[in-house]
Amino acid sequence: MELYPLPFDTGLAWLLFTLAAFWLGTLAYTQSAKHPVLNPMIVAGLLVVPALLLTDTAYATYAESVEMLRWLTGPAIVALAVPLYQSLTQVRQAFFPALVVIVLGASVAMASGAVAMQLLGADLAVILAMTPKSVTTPVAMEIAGRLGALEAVTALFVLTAGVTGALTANAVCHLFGIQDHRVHGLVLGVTAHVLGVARGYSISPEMGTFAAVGMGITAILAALLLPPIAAFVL
Amino acid sequence: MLGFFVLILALLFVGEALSAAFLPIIPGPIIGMALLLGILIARGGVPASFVAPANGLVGLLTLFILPASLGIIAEWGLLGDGWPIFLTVAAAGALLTAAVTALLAWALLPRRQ
Repeated sequence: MELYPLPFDTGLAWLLFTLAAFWLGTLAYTQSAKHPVLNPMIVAGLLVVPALLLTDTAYATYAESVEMLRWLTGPAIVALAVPLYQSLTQVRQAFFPALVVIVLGASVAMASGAVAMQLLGADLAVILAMTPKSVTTPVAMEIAGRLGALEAVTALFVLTAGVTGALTANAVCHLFGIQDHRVHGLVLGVTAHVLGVARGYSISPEMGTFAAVGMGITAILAALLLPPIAAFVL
Repeated sequence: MLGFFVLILALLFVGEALSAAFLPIIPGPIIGMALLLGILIARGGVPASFVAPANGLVGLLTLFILPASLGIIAEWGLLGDGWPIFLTVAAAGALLTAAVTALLAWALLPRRQ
């Protein structure tokens, strides 16, 4: 029996590597003025996945090593209420029209992917993984767990929708001749969750605030609606 | 700071308990977040000591979900050969959502003075 187990046995090495990779990703993100493609999750993933493959480490072993991070998701989701409340108080008189826009926009986000996947004849677990694609990833993965969808596939779809939305939302608004930063913000938040919020704040505080409200309400709505709808339809 | 973490963990506990007992379809952390939002609205403000720890926790959410997201290497095989089409659907759905949301917001938001 070893009195002082090697860090490789304890999983500390993977925890350190994951944190360091994420830290590098954060640097890349801020240095690139928060470009959606250089977000910390993509950069960290491009560092950690090859490391897992090169060392022939099973995903289950890795997940166990960094279990601590996953556990912290719960408290952090509860804490989301604080920035959401702060954004809500800044929206004021535009709140109710914004709420209607978010409910309808989020419904399109949830239904569009699922309908297309159904038409393509995809497996149920993959169709379900598509429904929360515009919901912020931690909430989307909680929902995926309740739906019986594949969690990591859900995260991949959320990332794809988020990068697409954050890169194109402003261009889509300009295409319609819309300059209003409140509109740009709602589109970013409803379509591209936290990547859209970061994009919004990088352009103006007003755009960021409306994006945060869009993201927050979309997340709550999806968490309340998707599991009952799935239970009813299936 | 400590008070914030006691409240957060208490709300998470209540959320998980309510989820397990009455609302198995709604995730416990979401119930906890809704409860905290309700408390903040009822209170009419965020205590100053909550702001820094809340922003710290929320700012690291992407890190906390990174391990679960990397599970894609274990789930990849389940996506099959369809993955380019599936990712295109996710991207196209995002574009459609952006267009619909933009037009709705333009039509429904009160005009600026």
